[in-house]
Amino acid sequence: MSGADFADALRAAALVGVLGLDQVAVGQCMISQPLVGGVILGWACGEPGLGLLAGVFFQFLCLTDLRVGGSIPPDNVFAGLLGSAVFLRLPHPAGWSDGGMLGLITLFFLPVAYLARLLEVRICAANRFWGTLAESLVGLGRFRLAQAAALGGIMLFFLKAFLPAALTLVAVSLGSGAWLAKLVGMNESLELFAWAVPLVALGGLVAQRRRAGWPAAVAAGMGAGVLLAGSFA
Amino acid sequence: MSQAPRETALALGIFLRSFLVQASWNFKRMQNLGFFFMLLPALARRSPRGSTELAQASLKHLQFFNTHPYYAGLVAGVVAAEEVRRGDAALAAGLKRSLMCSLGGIGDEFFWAHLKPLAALVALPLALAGHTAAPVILLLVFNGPHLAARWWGVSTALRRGREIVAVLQSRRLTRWIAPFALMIAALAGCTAVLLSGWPPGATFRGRSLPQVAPGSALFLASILVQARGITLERVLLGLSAVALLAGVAGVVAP
Repeated sequence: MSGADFADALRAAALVGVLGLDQVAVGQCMISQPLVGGVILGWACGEPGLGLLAGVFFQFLCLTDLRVGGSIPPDNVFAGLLGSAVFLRLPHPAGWSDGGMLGLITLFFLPVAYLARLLEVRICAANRFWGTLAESLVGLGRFRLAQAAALGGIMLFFLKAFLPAALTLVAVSLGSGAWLAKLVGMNESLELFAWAVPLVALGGLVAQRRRAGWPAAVAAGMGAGVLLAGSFA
Repeated sequence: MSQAPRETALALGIFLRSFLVQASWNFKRMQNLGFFFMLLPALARRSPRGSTELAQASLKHLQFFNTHPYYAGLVAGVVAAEEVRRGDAALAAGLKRSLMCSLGGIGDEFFWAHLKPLAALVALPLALAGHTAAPVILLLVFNGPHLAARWWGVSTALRRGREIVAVLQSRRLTRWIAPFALMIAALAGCTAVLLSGWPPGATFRGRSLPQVAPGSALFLASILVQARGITLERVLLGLSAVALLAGVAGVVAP
């Protein structure tokens, strides 16, 4: 791996870290969502089309996310961002389709989401330190420093996204892609898996949010979809 | 500085600081640090910096606080209006407690559970068709109501103080939840058909009914399976296992 590859990997990881801040620590304006973050990551490495493809795919896996109160669910958004970044950095050897590659990355989606959740739980436990520090500083009359302490968690939330992304992307960059060529026989089954995943995720969203009248709404939507799909010649 | 620009400056300060309300979210007191960060400029107006009064007020507002992040500024505005301007600390504390619980539930239900997936489902079909503006559409559909709610909450709370309770009751944000849920179901159905092209990798355009049937059947089956309590994670694990086994066994031919 060249120095330039290493630097690119770290830059992409830093971008994942910055985008990841939007999830909890800063803003919550949806730029961390894979559909947006994937395109940004794609632009950063000169492949906006691939970034959009990956972002769209992983966005489906984030549709059912629901953060309620103090609960911390599996971090599908971070897994989606990292998945998009990996898709952009992995070589695409002959015989592998985009769908197959996305299916391969999705095999790791749930473990990454649960690992990221574990890290976030640790950070939320560690952040009590900033509260203790802020109280001490307020007691001393140092209000500017107390405000800075109140924002200390931003650094931890950034590291939570940056460090796993850096490790993963550097590891991906170290590989030559020869292992992918050996697994090319799995492309068709993984492509089928990638085709099924968004449909299953959409079904999960409807099941989770269903209210009176949902079958008629689904039927109306599917009818509109048939008309739309058939209207494009 | 006359009163109105000062109030606007305070509202703008709380509004901008509200974007950092979860910067140091913690299990012990949750959004307490962000609440303190939002409220400090208002507290400093009433008590000079370095005074024990300011320190005591700050320590009081470093206690437990948790609500929906988009409405945290509203609660801060009410506390600023009641405690800082009118000096009624007990009323401010009571309003803070009651508002943070109710607004937390309303905000989570409206923004996280419904507006977020709805915005994604508006943008996803455009993205599937290759429109690179799709992410911008998602951001606009979501952040329009989001930013309006944040600013309205802060400015109205600062201006009206305790009367915000009556204002919120008249607004009835929850009346949008059922229509949004039905829109989500319809858009999900439409998107599922658009994705259903067979074989996998087929182009987005020019699909016939037989081509969309397998995918549509999978979509409907997944609704029924997950409506019975089988989580999406379990379904994905099962599909992953099948895909791996099929790939290793070479069952799916090119």
